[in-house]
Amino acid sequence: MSKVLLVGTPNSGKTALFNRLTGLNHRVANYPGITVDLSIGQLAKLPDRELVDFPGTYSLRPISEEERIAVAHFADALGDPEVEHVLCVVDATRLEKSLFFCLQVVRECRRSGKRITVLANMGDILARHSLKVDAPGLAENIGAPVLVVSARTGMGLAEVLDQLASSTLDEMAVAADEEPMLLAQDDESADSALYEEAHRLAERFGAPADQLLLIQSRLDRFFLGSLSGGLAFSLIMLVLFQSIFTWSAPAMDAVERVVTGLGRWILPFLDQGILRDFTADAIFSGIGAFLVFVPQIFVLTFVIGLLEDSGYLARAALICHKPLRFFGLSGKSFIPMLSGVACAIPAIYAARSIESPRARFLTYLVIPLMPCSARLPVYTLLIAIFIPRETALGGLVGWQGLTLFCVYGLGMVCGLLVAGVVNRISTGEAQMPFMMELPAYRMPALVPIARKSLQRAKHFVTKAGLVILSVTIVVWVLGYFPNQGADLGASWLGTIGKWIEPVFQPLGLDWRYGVAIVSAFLAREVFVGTLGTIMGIEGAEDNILPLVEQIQASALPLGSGLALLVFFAIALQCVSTVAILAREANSWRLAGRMVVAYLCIAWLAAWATFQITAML
Amino acid sequence: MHTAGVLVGFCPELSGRYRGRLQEFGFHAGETITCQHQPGFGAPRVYRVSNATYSLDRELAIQVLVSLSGG
Repeated sequence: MSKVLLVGTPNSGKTALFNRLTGLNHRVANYPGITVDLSIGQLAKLPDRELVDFPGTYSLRPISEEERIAVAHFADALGDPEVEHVLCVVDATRLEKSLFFCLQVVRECRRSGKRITVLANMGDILARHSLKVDAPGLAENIGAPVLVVSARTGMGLAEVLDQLASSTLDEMAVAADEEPMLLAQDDESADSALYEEAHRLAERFGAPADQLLLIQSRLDRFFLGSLSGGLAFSLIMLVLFQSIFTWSAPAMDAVERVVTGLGRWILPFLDQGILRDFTADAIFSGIGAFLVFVPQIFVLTFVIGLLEDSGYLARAALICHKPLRFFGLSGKSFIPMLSGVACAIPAIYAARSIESPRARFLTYLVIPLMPCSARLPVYTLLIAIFIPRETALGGLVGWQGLTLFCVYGLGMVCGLLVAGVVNRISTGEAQMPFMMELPAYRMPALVPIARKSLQRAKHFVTKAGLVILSVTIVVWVLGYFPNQGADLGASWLGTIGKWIEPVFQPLGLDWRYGVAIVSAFLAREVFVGTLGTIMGIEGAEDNILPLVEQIQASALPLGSGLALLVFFAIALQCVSTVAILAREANSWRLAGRMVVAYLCIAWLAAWATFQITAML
Repeated sequence: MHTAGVLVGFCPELSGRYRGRLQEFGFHAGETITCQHQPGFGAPRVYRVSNATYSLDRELAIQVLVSLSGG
């Protein structure tokens, strides 16, 4: 199948164009050992052509590892005989920014004998302000056809397809090796000539954007102002949190009902025995608990997509830059950290946008300490057991709510401290200076964002789901044999629990809690169900009250309860997080070290909590 | 704010890759650079170059040499 490459600078609307041309019927190719995704999809109207979307880069002279990898893939693709056409997307409203890269690509294509068409995207914005790009003049000067298009409205896309369908090679495209190999000359004079050329062409053929920038400047005055910017930021973050915890709740309940209903429908068809037990415990309980979080991933991705597409996210990163810089992080670490409050997995994906390897590494360290929603059932159980439902300050402050707030804060503070300490003691590449383009504000395109969110949720299910299914089976087998699930305490899992009991004894916890903690490595919320099973209470994950009463009756010390809270706030137990972390950071070693380090810190902090509580 | 200046060059200490990236952004000698905003919370300033706006932190911005208009 012949291929068409889609390249462009960041924020040029390249991905929106890809979605328009393919209908987002794409697969994501994850190349081993790297954190760069190439999206590949068939062109909707030319199904014999495959469109390959490259990550945005400002130059073929990359400055970050991700850009280096993207450029290397581009160079490889130019040598691929199946590649017959390159579409280079430029931002028509900010032509100069894109033209330097565009000229580099044009020259490389000429050298490789590939056809190239330049797409001046966002033509609709120019048209709305009665502005235009002189496409024929630009085409004549850069030596490649230039089409003014709009990914948002579909303007000009028919001409793009005509261009792709045309089998006639442009005379300019086959000039090949006659051109000087500009990119091979790694000297500044070549770059300077290209910069000057880009500048001259943008001035001569581009649209004056004073009017567009005036609107942006007014909005920035509000969103970046000390008072108004702070208020807007707080309000937007409040909406984001609200979306994570409230908007996704009906969908989460629905998924839970479907999984439970399916279980009730299927299980009666199975005879009592290992198959039925496996289906009930491993498939419906284990995988069901994981699927419940899919709507949350969708909602979170959707809301972040809205913020991203509107242009606000770049401003939020800017506002957070200085406080985060103190801990070695970057303003761009803010969104992954925020996503981590819902689930660490999309948060780890979101960290891809951080160019600085050091800041991205530190962000990876922080994400697992963000208080993800899987911790919530554990916190709810422990708080219900140990913290009275009483209020203080005339009913303004509830002790249970305050405790939850403190545990959430503990995770965040620990994350920042870990980043700060590691940043100070570690050597290696220094922080990259912060430089970021501020995209224009615009109305978010809802349908593509919804599609992208669906894609992310699907990716979450297919990738993380496989890991979780594997671990579920292992934990289930350990808990089921050798006595066919008759007594968890006598199972292999119970044996492991008793074997590790000395580890948890200093925290005032017996083997039952040890087993529940070990089972929580599957997914943290499994802790509640496991503890319920061990205590002989079925359905503890749905109704925790009998379990609360039983643990209260067992006179578990307050110190042990608080120690458990602290342990869960810090420990990195989620296997899917570890797997995704290892894949994204391209380092199982890092993921392994983080698991060990956070477990040690969690245990020490829990032990200190237990000891201090005992002294009071 | 809205202080404008003409870019005259870069500090020699500025690493080639960052100089290159700034040039890709449009920071060329002779180009007018306008400081658009000084955001709250000590955030990096926002500069307009050509038709685009960029945020540069202080340590990078001080390596961009400009001649202030009218002075």
